[in-house]
Amino acid sequence: MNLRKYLKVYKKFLHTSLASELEYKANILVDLITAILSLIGSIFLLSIFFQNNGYIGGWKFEQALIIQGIYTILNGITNTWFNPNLTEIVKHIREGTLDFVLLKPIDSQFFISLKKINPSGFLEIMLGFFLLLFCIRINQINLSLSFLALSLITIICSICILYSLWFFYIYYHYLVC
Amino acid sequence: MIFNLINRKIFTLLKVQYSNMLEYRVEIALWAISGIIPFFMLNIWTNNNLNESINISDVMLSRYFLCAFFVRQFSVVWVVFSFEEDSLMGKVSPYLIQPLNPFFRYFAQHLAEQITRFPFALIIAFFFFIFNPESIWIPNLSILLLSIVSTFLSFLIQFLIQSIVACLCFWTEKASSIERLLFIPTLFLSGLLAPVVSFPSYVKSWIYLTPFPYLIDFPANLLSGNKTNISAGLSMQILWIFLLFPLFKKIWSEGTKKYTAMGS
Repeated sequence: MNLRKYLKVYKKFLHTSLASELEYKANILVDLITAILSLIGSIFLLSIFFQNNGYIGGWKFEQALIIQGIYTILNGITNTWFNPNLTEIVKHIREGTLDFVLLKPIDSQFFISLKKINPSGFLEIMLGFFLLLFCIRINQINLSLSFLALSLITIICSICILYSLWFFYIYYHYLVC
Repeated sequence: MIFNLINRKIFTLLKVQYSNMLEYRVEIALWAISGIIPFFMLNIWTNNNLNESINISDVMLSRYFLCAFFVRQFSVVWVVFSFEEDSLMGKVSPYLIQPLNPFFRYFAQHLAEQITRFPFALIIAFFFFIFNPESIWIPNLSILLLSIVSTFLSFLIQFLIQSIVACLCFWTEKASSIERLLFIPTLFLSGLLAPVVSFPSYVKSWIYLTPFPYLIDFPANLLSGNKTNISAGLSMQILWIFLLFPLFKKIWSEGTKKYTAMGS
């Protein structure tokens, strides 16, 4: 019952924030190009480090790309969910509208940390996944069920840590403002 | 008389913005600390002996990255974000009727921020030298002056580019995404993360025609005493300013003609 209510509210969140973001279509297009360019830039930087060295700290270029892929996924998640909500919270606190959030008959943390979504981060998540798939091929990693399950668990843990770090910042803001 | 008036305007603007910036000194200190990414890059380069292949010694490379840090500290520009907010909030209209181009206001804001930032940057440099005592050096006075000039020119180039982007707010309302797009080549090609000499030759063949290496790589090489062509670098910087300034004037006059205040 409760879960269903939250799911329903989250659907509304998705709907409203996507609608408001799609108002600025050119903005989204530019953001998509930015995501692609920034991945190219990072790989370019990595290739500079590796241009005369086979190994850095025991890592091959192909292996270092895996880190880049995971970073790109996590950065995409940050840009899609965490970053837009955090800026919103700072605005709430500055303008004194946080009270209205606290008064709502819904979990405040749920409301405040999931209300907004920025669709241009999705491309980054996808790019990260493609890069990972590519890395699995060039590194000839054998995919087994237990390997996939372990990777999934570690990535989910890292997303949880990232969430906690980002929204830990709110409490910092509570303290200083 | 007119000169005196302009002088007074500049002085007042700077004074107001400086006291404004001092209010946010903690935030500026945090910004200064967040700019230490060149030091991480230095660590990657020297700990893996990557610099051997590009013929720069550890000491010279550490000076390079310290200078890159300094140049970046004094050429950070955010005018497009301020302008976008002011334009969305409708604050641009009152600025426009004042007998002063609003960009002077933002310009003074940036200069005041740099003055506020200066002591923090010095403290960070002090810690850098504690950990890397062998890289202490004293550049001679003419080089120091030249690199201050070229850092300022680099700041001007970036300020002009961002002001041009900011003027796009007159048409699209949100221009900061274009700035985020432009920031990507600035980040990777300006020499903040890796000196331009280390770039592969297929990039080096065209990069010196773009403004990017003159933003950080050239002033940092100059100040740190690494090999660089001083006259060519300075003239390219001035050339870019001469190219960008008329463009800014043009887009500004077009934009203000296009602009209508809300409710008019």
